[in-house]
Parts: sequence; C-alpha cells; structure tokens
Amino acid sequence: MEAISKRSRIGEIRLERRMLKRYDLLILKRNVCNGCSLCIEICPKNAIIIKPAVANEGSLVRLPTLDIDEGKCILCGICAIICPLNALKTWVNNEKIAMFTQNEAFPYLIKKISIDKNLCGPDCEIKCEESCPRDAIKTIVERQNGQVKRISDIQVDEDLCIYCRACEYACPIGSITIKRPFEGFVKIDSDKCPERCHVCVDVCPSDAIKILKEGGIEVDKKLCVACKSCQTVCPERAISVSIEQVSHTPVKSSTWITLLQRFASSKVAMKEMATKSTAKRSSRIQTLQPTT
Amino acid sequence: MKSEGTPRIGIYVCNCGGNISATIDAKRITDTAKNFEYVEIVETNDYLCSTIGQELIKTGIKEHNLNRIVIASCTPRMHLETFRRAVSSVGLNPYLLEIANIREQCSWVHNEVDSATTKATDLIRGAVNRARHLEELWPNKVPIKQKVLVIGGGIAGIQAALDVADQGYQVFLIERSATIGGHMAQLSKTYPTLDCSLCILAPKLVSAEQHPNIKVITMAEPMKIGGSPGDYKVSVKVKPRYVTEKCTRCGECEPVCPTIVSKEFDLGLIPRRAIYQPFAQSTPPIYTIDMDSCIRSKEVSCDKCFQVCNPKAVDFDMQPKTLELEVGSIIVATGFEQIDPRIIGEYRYGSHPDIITNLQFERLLINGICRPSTGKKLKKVAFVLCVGSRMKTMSTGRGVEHCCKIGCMVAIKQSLLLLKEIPDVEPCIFYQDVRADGKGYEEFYANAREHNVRFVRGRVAEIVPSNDGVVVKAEDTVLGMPIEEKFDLVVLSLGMIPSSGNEKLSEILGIHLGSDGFLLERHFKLKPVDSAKEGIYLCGCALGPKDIRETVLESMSAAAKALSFIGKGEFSASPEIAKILPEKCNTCGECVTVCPVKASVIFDSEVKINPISCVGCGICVIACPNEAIDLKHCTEKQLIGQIQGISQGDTQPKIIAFLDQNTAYASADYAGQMRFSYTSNVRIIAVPSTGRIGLKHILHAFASGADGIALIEGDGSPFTEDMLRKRIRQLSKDIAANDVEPLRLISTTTTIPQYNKELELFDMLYRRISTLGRIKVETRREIKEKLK
Repeated sequence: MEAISKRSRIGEIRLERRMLKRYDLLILKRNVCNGCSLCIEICPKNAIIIKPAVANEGSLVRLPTLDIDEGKCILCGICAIICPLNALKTWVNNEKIAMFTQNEAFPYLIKKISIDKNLCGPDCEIKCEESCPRDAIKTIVERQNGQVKRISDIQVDEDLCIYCRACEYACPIGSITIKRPFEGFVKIDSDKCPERCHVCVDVCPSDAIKILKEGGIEVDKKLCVACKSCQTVCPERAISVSIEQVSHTPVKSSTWITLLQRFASSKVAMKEMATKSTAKRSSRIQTLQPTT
Repeated sequence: MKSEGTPRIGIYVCNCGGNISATIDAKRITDTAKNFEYVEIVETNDYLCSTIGQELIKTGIKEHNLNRIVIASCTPRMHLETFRRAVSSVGLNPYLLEIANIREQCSWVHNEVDSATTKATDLIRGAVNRARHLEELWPNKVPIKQKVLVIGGGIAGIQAALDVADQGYQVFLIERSATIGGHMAQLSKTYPTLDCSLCILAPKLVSAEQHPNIKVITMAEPMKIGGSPGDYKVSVKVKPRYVTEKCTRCGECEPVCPTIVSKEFDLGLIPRRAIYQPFAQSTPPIYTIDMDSCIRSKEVSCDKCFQVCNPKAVDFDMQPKTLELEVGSIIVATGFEQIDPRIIGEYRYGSHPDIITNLQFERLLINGICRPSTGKKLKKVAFVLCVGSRMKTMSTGRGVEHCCKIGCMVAIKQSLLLLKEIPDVEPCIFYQDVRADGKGYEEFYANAREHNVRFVRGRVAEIVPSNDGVVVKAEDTVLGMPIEEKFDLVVLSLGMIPSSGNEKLSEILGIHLGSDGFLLERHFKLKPVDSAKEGIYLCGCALGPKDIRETVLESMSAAAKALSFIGKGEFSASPEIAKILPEKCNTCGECVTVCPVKASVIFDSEVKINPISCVGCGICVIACPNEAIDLKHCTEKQLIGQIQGISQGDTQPKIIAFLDQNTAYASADYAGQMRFSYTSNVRIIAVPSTGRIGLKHILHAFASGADGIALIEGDGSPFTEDMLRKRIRQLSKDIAANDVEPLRLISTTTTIPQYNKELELFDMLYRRISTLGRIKVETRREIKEKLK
C-alpha cells in the first residue's frame, strides 16, 4: 500500500498509489503513444525510459516503446500535461488532473478547438471529418440524393484531437478555430536524410511530412504540431525540431521555467523569465507606493 | 626489577579444609616439590584464602625474599584476585603469581589418592616451570572520556540517554531518520493499560531535546568507529534536511508544496508533501525536505516553500556533514523492523486495500478507523497472527523462526480498541498460541474473550480478495474443520526482524550478531546488555523481540552499565596482550589479517598493536610466519615450560588438554563442582584461546611425555569453530608428518554448562590412546631433536 505499484501490460502501463483518502493513478496507453518523447524530455525525475523505434529499409516497423520507473516517478503528472497525443493521463481521486498544477506550480497548456455549428452549412461537404488524420471529428448529417442537406451535429473527441488544424484549413466556411499548444519549426538536414527513407513520414501524427517527387522530404508547416516525433525516430538524426511558442495558463513557477528549457527553445524560456522578473519587479514597486 | 635475576619461588599448598587434603597427600607434594629448581620454600595451610593463609604467603615473601609465588589451591577463577592483592600488598608484582588448580580439576574429580597426588605434583611442576619465566606486568590505564554515544532514537535510546544525562554526563543521541521517537510514536495505545502511546512518549521527547546534557542529532548514522574502550572515536555522517534551525514549525511551507507523496510514518495511508514533518511532535521541531520526492534537481527548480518561509529557514544548498565524536562508552539501541508481508504470497498483501499490517492498523486507529476501500464502518475484522513468524526457514525458505513476542497482545489490544469505537464490530483473531506472559497480560486476554472477541486456533492458509470483502481460509483446529469466511478488513501480524543496517553496524563496532540477525549479548542470562566489546552496551529490540516495558528495562540497564564504566574514570586494560618483536617482524601483515578485533594495524610501515583493543587471544602469535609476536603472560617460554613440566612424570598415558580460559576452563570447573569424575590422566592447561596453540606446542607436549592432546574452545570466542577446525586439519597433517597418529589430536567447541561434552571428549581420547598405545621412545627422541 505504501509505494507506487505498477502494472505493465501490452496495451498500457498503470502506476497507482492508494492511500486512505487519496488515490493517484497514471495510465500510459501504449497503443496511443507514438514515442515522440516530449514526456521523457520534461520528466523532472527522469523516470521515463524509451526503447528506440525499429526501422527497416526506410519504413517504420515498430514505434518506440516507453516504460516508467516506479521507484523514481512521483506522479507529478507533468508528463500527462505535455503529451501531445493524450497517451499519458493522470487522475487524483478519479478527477483527471495533474498533481503538480496545484498552487500554480505548473501551468496547463492551452489547446482548444471550437466549431461554430451555426456557420456550418450544406456546402461544406463535411471536409473537416474527411481531413482529420486522427478521426477525431464525427458528424451526424441528413443527406438527400447523396448530398449533405443539413448537419445535425458535429462532435470533436478532444482525446484524439492533436490540434493539427487540418480541419481548419479544409473547412471552406471557416467555422473552426484552433489554438495550438506548441508552435515551432522543423529543420531537415538534407545531407543526412537518406534516400527512400520515410520513417518520419510514417510516425508523424498529423501527416504533415510529404515525400517529394524529386526525392527528399518536406514538412508542411501548416499542419506541424511540433511534437518532435520525427526528430525522435529519425535513424540518421537528420531532423531537428524547435518549439518557439508555448501557450499556457498563467503561473508563477520557477519549475515551469526550468522545465521549459528542457523541451522548448532557449528563446522561449528567456522570454518567460523576462516576463516573470518584470512581473516581480512591478509587484514590488506596487507595494512601495505610498498610501495616501 | 624483581622478575630479573634468579627466580626464588615459594610454593603454597592449600588443604582447603579437607576438600583437597582428603584426596591429595600434601606431604608427598612438599617432599617432591622442594627439590624443583629455584624453589626456596614449600608450605601447607588449611585455608590459604583466609587472612591467616594470606599472612603466611606475605611473610614468606618478605622473609625468604621470594620473587615468584606458586599457589596450589582451588580454581584461579575463585581467588586469583584475592591472592594477587595479597602479594601486591608486600610489593610483589601481581603477575608474578601462578595458581595450580588442584581442587576443581583434581581433588574433586579423582578418587584415588595416589594418582591424584601424582597429577597434583605434575600440575605444580608445570606451574613452577611457568613461574620461572613470569614477568612483571602493569595494566595499561587509559582515562575514560566522560561522554556516551547512544545509537538509535527510539524509546530504548531515549531512555538510556536520559538516564546517563541525568547523572551529569554528556550524551550524543544519534538517530538516522528525521525525528526521534521510533515505532512507539506510531502506536495508538499501549497494552495492557491502554495508555495513549504518544502521550507517554512525548514528554520524553521534549526532555531529551531540552536536556542540557543531551545533544540530539537526527539524520545521522555512524560510519566508522575506531579507538578503544574508554576512548572511542566515532565518525558520524549527518544527511542534510535542507531546513535550518531557524524553522519555527509554522507550517506555511506545507500547503504550497506541489508534490504529494505518501507518508512513511503513516505507512502509506496518509499523504504528505515533499517538505514535511513525520508527526506533529517531531523532535527536533524542524521540517525536513525529502529530496527524493522533491522535484528539485540540478536542472529543475522549485522554490515555493522558500518563498513563503518567513524566518528563511529553507536552505537548498545544505550539505552533508561529518561529525567526529570522542566518547567513552557506546549504547546501541537500533530497534526493529517488520518483515515484508509480500514474502507470504498466499496472503496477497498489496493486492487489496483491505489487507493491511498491524502497524498500519495502529495508524488507522489514529487517523480515523474505517474500512480502507470504502471509508465506511467496519463490521467484521480478521486478525491473522504469526505472519512470517515461527516459520521453519529451512523448510520454507521464508519468514523467520523466532516468535515476534508482541503479536498476540497487539491483536488483543487492537480488538478491544475496535470494540470501544465500534461496539457491534466482530473481531476474530486467528492464532496458533496466545502468548500473554506479562503482568496483567493474562487478565487482558481473559477480558477480550469475555467481550465478544472471537478466537480461532489455526494458521491461516490463504487470504483471497473477493468482490465485497476479503476471504480468510483457515482450519479451526479446536473444532477440527476448515473455515472460509469473508471479512471487511484483514490485519496481518508481522514477524519482527532487526533494523536494516544492523549487519553494517555490527561490523563497524566489532560486535557479533546471533544466527537470527539480532545483536548478540555477551551472556544471555548474566550479561544480557553487554556486547563482546568493553564499553559497548546493547538494549531494546536490537537484541531481540520485546515490548515497550522490557525495552525500557534493558535500556535502563544498559545506561547503568555505561555509567558504571565511565564512572570509573580510568580503564584498566589487561596487560595480557600481544607484543611485536620488531627485530623479527618483516611487516608481512598476516597478523593484521587474522586479528578478530582489528587491534593490529600497519602504520608508518610498522606493525603496531593497539594495547587497549587487543583481547590477548593469541591468534596472531601462531599466524606470524616469523615468530615475531609473543603474548604477555602466556609467552612462548612460559607456555612451553608449563607443557614440559606437566608432561614429565611417570604416569602413562598422558593427555594434555588446552582449554580456553573463559569458557572451556570454566566448564571443567563446573564439572568439578558437580563432582563428576574422569580419568586422572587428563592434565588441563588454561590458554587465552586455543588459537594460541600451534604445532610447536603440540610437538613439545609429545616430546615431553604426552600421548594425546585435546583443544577445547568456548562458543562465541574470537577463535571461531571454523578457525578451530581449520587449525586441527593442518595440525593433524603436521603431526602425521612427525610419525604421530592424527587420532591423538582431538577438538571441540563448548559452552559452560556443557561439561558433559568435555568429559566425553576426555573419555574418547583416553580410549583412543589406550588402543594406540604410548608414543614410541624413538619418535619422542626424534621430535625432541627437531625442536632444538
């Protein structure tokens, strides 16, 4: 009952800690996880271990697999916050929250998808549902003669949605707005990128990487969610991903700043630190103001 | 120096009021002994130990200018000190005295006057030969540091520290966790009085903390102990707690810490933060940061606690410290742990929240008794006793053999406390035997039986969680039928084992562990808190399972012994120790390797023996390939002289028995006290330990007339049974190479009450050599030639 107990199966890893009045649970769904390794970069206790991907003749044969060391894990839940695919989730007393977000010690990432159903009409041909690489959008439509006459309902499964904006671009009407947690860019070193290798294409969760007819690969910046999956699986280390923007709830946390440096670019961390110290200075100045 | 120059030996034979004179002809002895070399005078007396007897000796020394005394009397274990005092009073060094045991090991065990007298004469001749080579010796006196170290901050350590400190001496109380209090602080109420445990403990925590003579050092563990009794040098490593003494225990830091883990003090039932205190009355009253759970590391920062700490007590840069303490005495009170219940796999601990341990149940009582899985009221509770206890480890390979001693009483107590809180609850205790042996314990147990506590006699076979409860499968051996019942909660009574780190501590201190892993006391009945080392005392559950009352008794006892030790002010270390002969030593380091108490060290490319730590066992003397070590008061000259003296004389065959002076010799005395007889062909020589005896001595014995040799060592001696066996194997080969049958050499280990073992050994050896016959004269001559 004391330490964290772990149950590891093919499909998932469960870490749980049961106390009298508190139950902490962490589940890593192996069939959702694609080994992007953001959790490994950010884990403050270095408790997550990766077994690298297996590639054969340019194809991704097996995704990287993760394991968690229950002796090091403190169930802080930071990995679940950062996971772009929602493969890692944590609960405290059956509430889906991350322990470390209390007391403003850590922010939540801002990721939002909103569809204004009033704008949707029969002309759209429900391109959103078609274009979604994760099958996260489900529509209920009334058809007449094979044509869409009325859209009764559009549901987005936010568990599956990775905010790639494919639906946003595909929608002819513009009723979808998406806020991404990360913005970044991908750099490919074409000298290192081997011919006829498409491991990164296979792993990309938003299908953002295309093989060019003339050879080589190209990343569609519109769709890239900067999850770093391609960087992790590339057998030649030809890809580097840099996260340039992180959207999150406001916090006063040195933990956030130090962990930010681990997975985002230093520019982002510097900017946040500057904001933090300005805020601190201004709050101190406020207290010095004389009372009238 | 009186020991130089020609020896002038006086022999005093005691009649012991008939105890000796009935079987031994003193006149014959006198007639023979006065012709021994260097003997000036031989006198007889009825009671040498009396005032008149002692006066006789003192007068003899003065009038005849004697410089060696041989007393033939009862065992030296009776009156050695008396006679030593007597001769010192007239200016003779007390180590110039030799006693021949002609009572317990002669007149009381042999019936025939003739052979008994011959044996007594031989013993006296041996004593005279030894006396010739005796030297003046003075004890090494060391001033004893007037400070005491107590290792372990549970009730045992706290009580010992208070007792010593109250007498005015300085005490260091070191504890490896963040607070003192130990397991007693975790209990709800104590049996049989049902006092609130923490309520009776807390005043002691405060007293220890505030006592001007006690320094409480938590997060501390001893790493290295050197020095010698009275002057122990201890290196203590203090782990950082990252909060300084500026802490006011305001508690503002706790709610802002974002990390939540489970509390060790509450055995995983209650959460705590990374910055925490184990319980409200933790002593010292300073918070601690558990850096393993805290999210801080070299790359990751978090300073929520630091931000809110007003007195600025949080110090993330705190470093581990090493303290060097110098103390006169050490008290070990390291307490116990419980076995891991998961080794009894069929009880399925850990698979269900309603299967808990008895210590967790205590915390459940404190934190609000309820059913752990639902939080609802308890209806049926099972107490399973002897989990991992009383298991024959040989057959099952798990658990421990010993009884935990407290399991029965704890289960009864917990049942009664349950009934107090929940009047209609149904407690059921699955027991093997109910052990209720203290004052008021049986009445406590009877009370439980009257109050609807159900008792089922049978060891639980299996515990199986099911959908709405936990099923316990056992056999009710009284009714003779199997039982399968569902309970809301199952409480496991776990076996008791010594604290982790006990082995390392015993190595550091140079004290022994018993076969059960607990610390070993010097003598189970008569020296229950002494360790093998002078000045180090043991108490509490570190020695073995016991309850709080017995723990307090032992800790008071250990404190009294420590006080008595340091109160003397000066430690007289026996001068009967090993000494290096530097001209023969080539610093090979063999003695360093074999020394059982690490008294021999190489320092500055010289071998040095610490005169205070050395216990004078003599193992190094034989180990040295260059014969560069000798043992004071059992020197080669003295020992060989005694062997030759005893082995001469006409009796054939002759058995020389080398007995270790503490145990085997005492056992032979005991046989004498019980008047058990054995053959007078056996002649006993006391040695510090049989490790002192090597091939040379055995050959001398055979050359001088012995036909059989016995080596008997006490259990628990630094010369262990393994070492003895190895020695005998080598000696058997060596004497065979000298044309002597290996069967003439025999050995065993023994304890004081096992005198039968010795007598049977003597008997066996006597029969063997009777069959083998005497050693041939030519063989003896050849050996004698070789020894020259």
